[in-house]
Amino acid sequence: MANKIYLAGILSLLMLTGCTINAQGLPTDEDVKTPESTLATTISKPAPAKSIIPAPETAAPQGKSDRQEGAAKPEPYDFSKPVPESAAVELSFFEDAAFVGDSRTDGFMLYSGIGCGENITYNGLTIFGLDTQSGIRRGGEKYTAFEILEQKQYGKIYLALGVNELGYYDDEGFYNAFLSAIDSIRAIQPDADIYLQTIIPLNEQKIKESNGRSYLTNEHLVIYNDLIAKAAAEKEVYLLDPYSDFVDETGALPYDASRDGVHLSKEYCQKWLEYLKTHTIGE
Amino acid sequence: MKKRMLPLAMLLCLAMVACAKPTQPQEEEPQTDTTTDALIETLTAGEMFSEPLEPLDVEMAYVLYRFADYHVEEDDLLSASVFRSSGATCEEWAVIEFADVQEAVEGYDALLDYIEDQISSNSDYRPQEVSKLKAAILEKYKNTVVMIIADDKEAAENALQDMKN
Repeated sequence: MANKIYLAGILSLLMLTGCTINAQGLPTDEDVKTPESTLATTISKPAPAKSIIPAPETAAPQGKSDRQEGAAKPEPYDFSKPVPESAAVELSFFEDAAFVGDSRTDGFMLYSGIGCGENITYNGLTIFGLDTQSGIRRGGEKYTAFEILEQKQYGKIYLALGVNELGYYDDEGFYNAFLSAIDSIRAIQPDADIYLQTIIPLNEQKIKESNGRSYLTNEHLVIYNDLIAKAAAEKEVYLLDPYSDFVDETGALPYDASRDGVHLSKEYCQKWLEYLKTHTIGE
Repeated sequence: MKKRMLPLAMLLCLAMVACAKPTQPQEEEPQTDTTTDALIETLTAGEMFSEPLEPLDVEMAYVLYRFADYHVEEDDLLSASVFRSSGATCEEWAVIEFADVQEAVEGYDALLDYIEDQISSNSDYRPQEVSKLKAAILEKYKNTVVMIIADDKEAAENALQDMKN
């Protein structure tokens, strides 16, 4: 009898253990965070002084994206983290690159010394206007950013947007627009490596001194950077984090980096290029 | 009678010559060769601009102004002095010497479209800069084109006038 009780107890213990394993081993719906639930959490939190984008841990893969069929897959790439630092590439690396962005990227193309790559920029361009803002002139005609991308195939697409959108106060819309933009770019440029860049910080004091717009704040910018990082992870495109390279101890762009707190001086455009040269995915 | 008619006829001929109008409109270009060195020096001093401007090399100026779309080769730019805001304003200036007058005409058209594009793209983005763009100075002197988008337009016009004198 005692043995039966003992065996029953052991059996009961085993049954309880099995239930625990099943509950822990298989994710439930509550464990999987949808972008919407993550957004709600992000928006409700007070903005930190600096971005919470994690530092890269894994080494960059040697080949192209693991998504390519037949490509060697030494280790799975973690798209949730920024591209890690590596040896600086030559400027020729950017010859087949397209740089899509706003006036900040236009300044980069003019003053960084990059000397190559396609300039697909427009003053005031936003993530919402890639297929509607037709202000980019080519051959006497004006086109949208997507129309320009459709004209030629590139090896890399660098996307740097977000400053002009700070005045939209539509964080969820911003996030969804990034997801949609990535899908569109991928459809237009199926073989290109897509790099999303976090937004370089602002200097709010300089903005105020130059009578800039009050909605240009680093507090909101950091939220947008978190959303950009989430979009990169969600869509498995490469994340670049120039924000962390530029931000000072106060959570801002250094005072001398810009005349209006937004657009980078020549020296800092060159610094931006150095960042890009040392954060690439090998070919 | 014939003796009286002859001086009258001569007088009439002289009057006709004096009142004759040219068949072609007068060019606004100065009669002497234009020297731009003094103008470049004045512009570089920057007093007519609200901020220090960044220099742009010939290669980037060629790309920025999209001269290729206007059938101007990079080699057709004999010299280019270009200074531009890094982004805080729309202020900039360019003094570009082209290989010949025809290239300068094409370059002029390119810069005209460039100014119009700047007006268009800044109407919502930086509306406070549009007045400077609309007051832009764009002139051609034989094979040299001058563009000035300044904070102080009067100073810019004075600098140009000094060059013409």
